[in-house]
Amino acid sequence: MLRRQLGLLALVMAALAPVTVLVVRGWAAAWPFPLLVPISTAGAVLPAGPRLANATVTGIALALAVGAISTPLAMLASRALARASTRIRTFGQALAFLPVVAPPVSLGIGAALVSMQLHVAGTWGGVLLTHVLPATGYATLFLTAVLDRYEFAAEDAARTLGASRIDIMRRIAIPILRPRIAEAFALAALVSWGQLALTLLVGEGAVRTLPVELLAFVNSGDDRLGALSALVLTVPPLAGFGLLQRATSRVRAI
Amino acid sequence: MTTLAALEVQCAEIQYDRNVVVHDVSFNLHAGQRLVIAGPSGSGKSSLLRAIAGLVPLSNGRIIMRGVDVTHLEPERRGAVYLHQVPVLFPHLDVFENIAFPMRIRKIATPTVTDRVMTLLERVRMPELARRRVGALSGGQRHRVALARALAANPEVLLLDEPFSALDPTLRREVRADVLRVLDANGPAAIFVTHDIDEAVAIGGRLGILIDGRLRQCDAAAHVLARPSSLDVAHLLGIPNIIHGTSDALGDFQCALGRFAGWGGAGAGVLVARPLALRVAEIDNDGVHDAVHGVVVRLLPQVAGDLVVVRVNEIEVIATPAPGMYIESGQHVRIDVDALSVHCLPTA
Repeated sequence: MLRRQLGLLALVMAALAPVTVLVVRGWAAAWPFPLLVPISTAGAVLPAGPRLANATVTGIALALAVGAISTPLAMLASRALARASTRIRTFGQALAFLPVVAPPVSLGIGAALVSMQLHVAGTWGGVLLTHVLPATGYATLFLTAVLDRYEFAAEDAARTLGASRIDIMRRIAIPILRPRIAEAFALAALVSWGQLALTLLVGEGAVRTLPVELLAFVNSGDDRLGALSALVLTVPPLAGFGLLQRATSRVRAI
Repeated sequence: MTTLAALEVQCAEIQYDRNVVVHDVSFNLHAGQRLVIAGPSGSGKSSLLRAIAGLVPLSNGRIIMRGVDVTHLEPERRGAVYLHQVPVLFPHLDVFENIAFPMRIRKIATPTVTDRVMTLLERVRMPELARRRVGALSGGQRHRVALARALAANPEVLLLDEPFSALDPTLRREVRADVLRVLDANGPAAIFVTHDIDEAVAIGGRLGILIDGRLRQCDAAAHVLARPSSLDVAHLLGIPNIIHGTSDALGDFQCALGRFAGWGGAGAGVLVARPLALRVAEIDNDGVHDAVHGVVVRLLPQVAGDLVVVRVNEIEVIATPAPGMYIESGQHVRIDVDALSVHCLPTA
């Protein structure tokens, strides 16, 4: 019994320790080595508030836009893969994996070169298009796995009952898959929300999301703002997943 | 004046990856008629049904519904509803909305939809389950809802792919009776696919035998059973007595069960006889001289009436005992062959 409780305690501490450190560091004015506790709680962070707020809004807008673009693309791709022959399916999944397994820096360099050629480097649109690449890959892989358990026979039945392809998407596929589509959206948005290398390389510092600001704070030696940024960075994903979990638990789906 | 066939299949051919799975199949079907396509697994039955529905393309041939060539039309524009082996209901809709689905997509007014759905629910004897989740339905109820939903689409042709095979025997008979009752009342042409010959016969109507992708015979079920067109068909039908013999110079067929005049074939052949065509009777000395005699090997108890295995001239045949006759193993008996109910086929 004691061993199990200790194990549970270790798990909780391992999960909470990094967040606790961020909370403490964000609250304290300074925490010099080798002190175990911060020496002061004084000091204002308000001057950096607008920067954090702007970066948060930019990141959320970017993440939502990426989710909105990537999810339908991933839905189309995964539906095509799910009904394709094994050979085409394997090839398609490898393609979807490519932006996922490629190191972000490599992908970023390539994307930066392309974005310069297209004159979208340093723009919000350029960053958006670049984020869509890995986000679509992740969402496609996720939805392909989901569609393995999806009964396409329901769509065949609906077609012979007179439903057009649009009717089928609107009345069959989307309602049945709604919770999983929401998860794919959240996944794509998260990929964008936490993206640093692609944003830096294609955004050229002009598009300032939270990870970009975080890096800037840490590079300038401001650990406190770095910790605060890191904390803010974790809030939307946690909140989003909490809401999603609550919403999808009420819906019957595959 | 001739009425247009609800469905005409002309020289249909289906290929998967260059393998032809259905060859040159043709038949037609009028409104209210039933056709059962029976065949072994892998014979192309389901592919043919799916091609009629438009879910699989034809590599050759045509499909015509009510005089309109629908070969290249999308499934939703054909008027043929396909019912899967395991009923596929829409899990996010309740029973009412499942049945209402074909009418909702046609944008029919809600009061009309409600009336029609309730009528169909009455017809499939489920009016009290209108608002039940489909996940909470039993197997038989799911079949009935799928049937009601299919009828709600008002199809020209209903395509039922092994519709009862997933049910246990008792439920199968019950659901089959319900389906046939509802179809009789409603009247779309219906094609059933099955690998179960007993079921094919129970469904009635015409019987098509599909073997290796070819429609070997298509006729009234009673005719197919009495006169199978080939040895393959006889085997598929499960006819137990296939007795080898030869034709003589006069064209009569000669085998262990006697001589059968007027076969017209030449060389080796087989006599195909259902147990009903061979009647076991007691030997009497006043009987005809060329009567066939044999010895009872064993009884085969059956639900519909016992059969008897009789050894005749080194072969065993399965026959039907005369009413009220007491039979035991080793008994010497006479076999009366109903010459009109047996059929001779060439072996080649």
